[in-house]
Amino acid sequence: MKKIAILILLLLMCKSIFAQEKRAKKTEIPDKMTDFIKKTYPNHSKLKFYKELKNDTLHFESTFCSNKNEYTLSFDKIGNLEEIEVTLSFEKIPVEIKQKIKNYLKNNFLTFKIKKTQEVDLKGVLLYEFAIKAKRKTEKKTTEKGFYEIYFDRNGDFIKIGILKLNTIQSLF
Amino acid sequence: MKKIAFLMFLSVFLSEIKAQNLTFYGVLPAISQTGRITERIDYNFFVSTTIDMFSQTVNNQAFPARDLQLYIQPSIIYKFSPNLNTSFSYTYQRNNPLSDDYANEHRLWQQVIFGHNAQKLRFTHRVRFEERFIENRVTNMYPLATRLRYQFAANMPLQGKTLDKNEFYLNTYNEFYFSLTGIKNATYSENWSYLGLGYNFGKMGRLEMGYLLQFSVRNMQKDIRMFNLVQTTWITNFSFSLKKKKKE
Repeated sequence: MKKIAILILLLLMCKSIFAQEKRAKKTEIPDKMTDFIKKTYPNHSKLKFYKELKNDTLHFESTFCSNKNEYTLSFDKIGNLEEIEVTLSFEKIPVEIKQKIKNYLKNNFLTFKIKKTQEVDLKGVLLYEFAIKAKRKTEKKTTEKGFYEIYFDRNGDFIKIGILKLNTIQSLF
Repeated sequence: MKKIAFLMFLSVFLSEIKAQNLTFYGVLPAISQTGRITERIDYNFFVSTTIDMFSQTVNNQAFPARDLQLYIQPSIIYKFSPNLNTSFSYTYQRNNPLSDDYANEHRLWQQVIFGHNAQKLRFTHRVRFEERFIENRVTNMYPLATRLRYQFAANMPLQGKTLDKNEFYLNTYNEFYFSLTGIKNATYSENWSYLGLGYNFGKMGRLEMGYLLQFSVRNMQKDIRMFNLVQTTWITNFSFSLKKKKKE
């Protein structure tokens, strides 16, 4: 049941990827949102605000650095916190959980390399999100190299995996 | 003030006569279509033409306004990762395509392109090695010449962290051309600088317009040719496959 709830939340989160986000002026930002950032992250720097329409509803996002970590916070239109994403080093995850995640990756991939680790707090649901480069066996028993986004809960239990679509790096002439 | 302006004009005018440098003004319309072949392999089809818009006579030599170059470049791209691609191509170029003094060029090239992000900017570094077979209309031969190019580019969305539909972006690059073997006027033989403003129409692709300065060494005396161009590029990215993507 918990997993289904998390999956629904993740689906909603993925949908928001396709929403359009634009830079927002400070005057457009709800006070509640700026107060929260000031209080919770007093040492923040490089603060930027964005606004986006998700299913015709206005949402705000802020990105900043604090204590050498990169943060992305999402808020609703009146400044209620919806999601926190923090980029961190894989090594900072507690040893037991790290081992559990590594075991899952070892059992499901022939080779893997963790490219990015994020702690996600999605309306109180705590997750880890990893971007990995990995090789795995396909159903046809051939090997396939790819880039994946993979989610675990904070106990190190697998939640969801998605393959990242590779795009051509654009250049003219 | 008038005297200074006159002296500046005179010095530019005199250096032009002495050096026989040439300056042209024109337009460069281009189309670039990228599509998927497999998860890892894409194709790109790029076509452009370079048009000199104004007739001029320099040192009794006439340079009529005309189409100077037709460029057709299909290529195959292998995507190692989101930040590393390689590609190869057979490219056809025809100089003065609509005139009797045309010259064909058949070109093979291989390239590596590396991309990285810094804040909102996306930087790319592109190294391309070319084997050029340029037609000599006198001998009717296609002697081989090789060239190495390095392009450094930056791309920045202007409305938000990522480029979404109905948003503007900036694109700029500088490309250095080094002629290595074969007939050449100089080793550092060309330099292209570009700054463009683009708009993302979504499914219809992106339309980009900008200023391109092509600087090239035109003879063994190291005289230069400056080509000031307004480049307009329609960039599309779609696949013809009707297969639905398998989701996990």
